[in-house]
Amino acid sequence: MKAWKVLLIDDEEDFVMTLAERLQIRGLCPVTATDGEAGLDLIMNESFDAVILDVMMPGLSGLEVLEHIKNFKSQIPVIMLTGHGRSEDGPRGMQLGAFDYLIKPFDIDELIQKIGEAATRR
Amino acid sequence: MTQIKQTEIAFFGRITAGVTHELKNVLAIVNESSGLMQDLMALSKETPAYHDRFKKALTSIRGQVQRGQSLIAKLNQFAHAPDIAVRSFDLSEAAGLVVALSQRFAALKNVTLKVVPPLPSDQTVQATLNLVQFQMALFSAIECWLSLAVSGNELNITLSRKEKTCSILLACEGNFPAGTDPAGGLAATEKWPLLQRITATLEGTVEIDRLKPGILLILPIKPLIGAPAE
Repeated sequence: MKAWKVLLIDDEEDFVMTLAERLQIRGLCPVTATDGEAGLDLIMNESFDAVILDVMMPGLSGLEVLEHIKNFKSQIPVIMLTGHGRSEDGPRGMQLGAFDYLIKPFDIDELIQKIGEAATRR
Repeated sequence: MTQIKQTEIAFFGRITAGVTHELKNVLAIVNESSGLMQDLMALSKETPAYHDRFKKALTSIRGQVQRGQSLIAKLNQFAHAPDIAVRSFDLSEAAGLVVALSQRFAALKNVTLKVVPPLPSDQTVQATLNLVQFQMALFSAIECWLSLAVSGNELNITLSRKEKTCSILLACEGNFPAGTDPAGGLAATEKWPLLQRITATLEGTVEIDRLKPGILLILPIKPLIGAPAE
């Protein structure tokens, strides 16, 4: 598998750091941000194969961050993370141009599969 | 339901829905942390002490994460019930949710509780009712039965549609202690007056089917919101 460079944006630091470590073990190159503003700074200054973005965050919400990405770096695929299956957030994210979404907690193999699909379809 | 009552219920629902989201984050961290432990164990060149025990414990944690995820999803769905006072919804799905959330109460009495048979997707019963009141009515009926049921009983809920009404039969199967009259006892249970009041609020009726024995709720199926009146 290619060492996809992915940006993880989630305000739950324990979650994002642990997920990053697991992705690294699987050969990916994860970069982390714990709020939308920090995530957007990284997106503007570095290149990523995919962005993993939590919907509900303090400050800029995931959907707001997604809109910024689509306005300024529209080629980067975004995979949204939502809390609930029945939530409108996932479908709303898709309408705004997200590649796909996953419901927390998810299986890491499913996430990696989506990252691969997203990165190769750019 | 009065405006203030509706507001109070919506308040409880909103807080609960918010907390369920936080709980999802908790589960996600537990899930990733246990996954990382599994990853590190798999990477370890030497077999660590208690390897099998750790593996078993981690498998248990992942199973409980899935269990918690399922419960939280249902609780979240339940918490959103008061978002709109009167709405069109699938009765079978709504009944399934109440049954899922009532399993703990049934398990405490060692009673099996289920919706039988699940309606095929092309036979869904749509109704326009106050969802919270519907859930309360069904739960009150379940509580009536659980106060009488004994270990090993099966409480089966069957939904059916007849033109402009739907019937929900809660029939209890299995043995009852000799000399008891479960059908007769239902009307004397603590929750029966509440069940009658809520059913009346829903413009429905509740009666006891002595033969099954069972509780029969008959509720009106009003036109779907947004659909032309029949």
